[in-house]
Amino acid sequence: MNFFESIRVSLRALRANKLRSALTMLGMIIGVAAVIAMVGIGNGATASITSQIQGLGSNLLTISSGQSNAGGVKGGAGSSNTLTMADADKIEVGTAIKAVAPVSSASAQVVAGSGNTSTTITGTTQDYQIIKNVSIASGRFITTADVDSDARVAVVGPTVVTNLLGDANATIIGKTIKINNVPFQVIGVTTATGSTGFQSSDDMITAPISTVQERLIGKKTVRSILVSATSADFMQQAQDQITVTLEETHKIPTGKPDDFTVQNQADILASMQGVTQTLTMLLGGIAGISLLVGGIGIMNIMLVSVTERTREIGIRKAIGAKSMDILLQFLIEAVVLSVLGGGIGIALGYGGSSLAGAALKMSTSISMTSVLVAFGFSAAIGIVFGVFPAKKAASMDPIDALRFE
Amino acid sequence: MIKLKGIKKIYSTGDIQVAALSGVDLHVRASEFVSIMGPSGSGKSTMMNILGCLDTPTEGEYFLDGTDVAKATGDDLAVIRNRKIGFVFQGFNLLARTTAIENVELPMLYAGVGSKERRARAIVALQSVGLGNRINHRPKELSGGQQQRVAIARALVTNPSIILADEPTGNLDTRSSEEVMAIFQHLHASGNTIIIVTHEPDIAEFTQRIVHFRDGHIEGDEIVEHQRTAKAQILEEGVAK
Repeated sequence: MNFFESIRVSLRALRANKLRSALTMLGMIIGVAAVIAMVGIGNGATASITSQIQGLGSNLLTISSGQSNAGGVKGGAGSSNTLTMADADKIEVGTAIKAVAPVSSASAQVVAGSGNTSTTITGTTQDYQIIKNVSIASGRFITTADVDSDARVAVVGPTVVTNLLGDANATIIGKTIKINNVPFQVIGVTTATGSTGFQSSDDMITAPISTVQERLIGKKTVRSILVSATSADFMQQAQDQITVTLEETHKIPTGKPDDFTVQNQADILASMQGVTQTLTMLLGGIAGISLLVGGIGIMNIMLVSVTERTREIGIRKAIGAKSMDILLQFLIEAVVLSVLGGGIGIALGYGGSSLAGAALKMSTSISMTSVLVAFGFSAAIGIVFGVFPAKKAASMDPIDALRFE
Repeated sequence: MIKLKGIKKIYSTGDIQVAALSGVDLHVRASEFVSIMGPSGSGKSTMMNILGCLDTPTEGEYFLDGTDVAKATGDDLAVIRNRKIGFVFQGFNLLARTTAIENVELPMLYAGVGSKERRARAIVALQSVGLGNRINHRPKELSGGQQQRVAIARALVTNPSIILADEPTGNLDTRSSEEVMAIFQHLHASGNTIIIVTHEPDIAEFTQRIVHFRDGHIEGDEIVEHQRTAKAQILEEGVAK
């Protein structure tokens, strides 16, 4: 008997017991759908976290001051102020580096008319806009001219506007606000990014670094220098360039520890992605167990089916079916159940993860790989769990099988 | 056609050995119509299983169409059953959810016959047992006699060397029994070799020759002097056209 005929015989047997076939498939459907949906949601979460981190600035490197070392007691990174404006100027924009912006910040009380709020004042230069992808809703960002002339100008975030004037849409451009009693003229408002919490870019005032140092901090110190690499591929080169430049400027002998640290955004990204990928695997693994249970369900039903159809097996063998014919017939039944269940499961899982994505307001992504793996896995389960019942059927003695009541 | 020499079948249960057949010699020529009779426990069912290549003898030689099949195993036996033997059982043994024609096609399916030829031959076989108008009925929708006729059609569709019938009338009433025997006589008349196992003397009288079994060996072998002729309405309609 050829393979095609075997498939026809198997399909007919499955059709003869529609309810049972459907219920058996349900196990596979749930298992595969769970795997697809879980992996889809996990991938979506990874993508969303990645884009959030990248939203902080593309290909960002952060240079911080080194540790203070007072009498052998070491402070944390940035505890000594070793970075200067000159350092920032020394780091040259080129093939690897796209933009450099020194940052000094202070917390201050801000007053505008009858409203007041406490927020962070970030003193920086024009390049900060490029590095942090700052988008301006109205007005303009600070310029090099502002920095050079110590201009008392400020760009405010939408949350600051709300806190000061009670309404995010109120006109603030051109008005004067007092930061620690120093009057600043508002020249721009940033677009809301939706970020919240500590150091939200919405609850922040940006001003020329020279002005902030002079008027608000009183010292010419630079807290950190932000550097944007030209692309992800140039991150390492940019990092090397910074290290070499600063070691030279700071006259650090080879072998001695640097008095600054360079943090790579890609490192943070990688560790975050590591976390979410582990989570995805965990979810997928749990769903995989239900796939296994589905497979055992198929084996169970196939065993029952083999016993129930002992007489049929006897008849088929008596009129000339070889062991392989019987084996194939039952194996194909199991594989059809699992593959069909897998196919429906993929469709359901796809729908389920889209639904979950819509409900959780995040994008989910079903990778072709996970579909292929789930499909291949369900076919494999059909074979693995189908072989045992099929072998049992194929090895039956025709005389005993015919006598079976 | 069939030649058995010193066939023994011994079943061992633990230390106890039971001989179901203790040295049987039998010769059946082509186109013979033989019945095997005997009380239960006489070994006639074991004989049937060995003749039908469902089982192999512990000892002895079995020549079927000139080849010794006594030592064949597993799939080789399946091929012999498929090509050379047509079975008719007491309990019909049709596939329940399958139509008459599909049941008749089944042995050809395992023989690798193409679907068009399969269908054509199955229709011819069903017509020859007077069921040309019932090909798409399922066993449930047929009477006992009709089911047995489907089984006969299934047995003869591969043009086997022998047709083996194990108590073919055991589950049938007198009228259906006679119909079935009429078909066998008709098949015999057209050249088929047929062996029937039965315990009913009046059924055996429809055959040419009766072999009597007792306690695992042949006790008697006689030619039927006054062979009965089975008459059946269905054949006059179905086959004589």
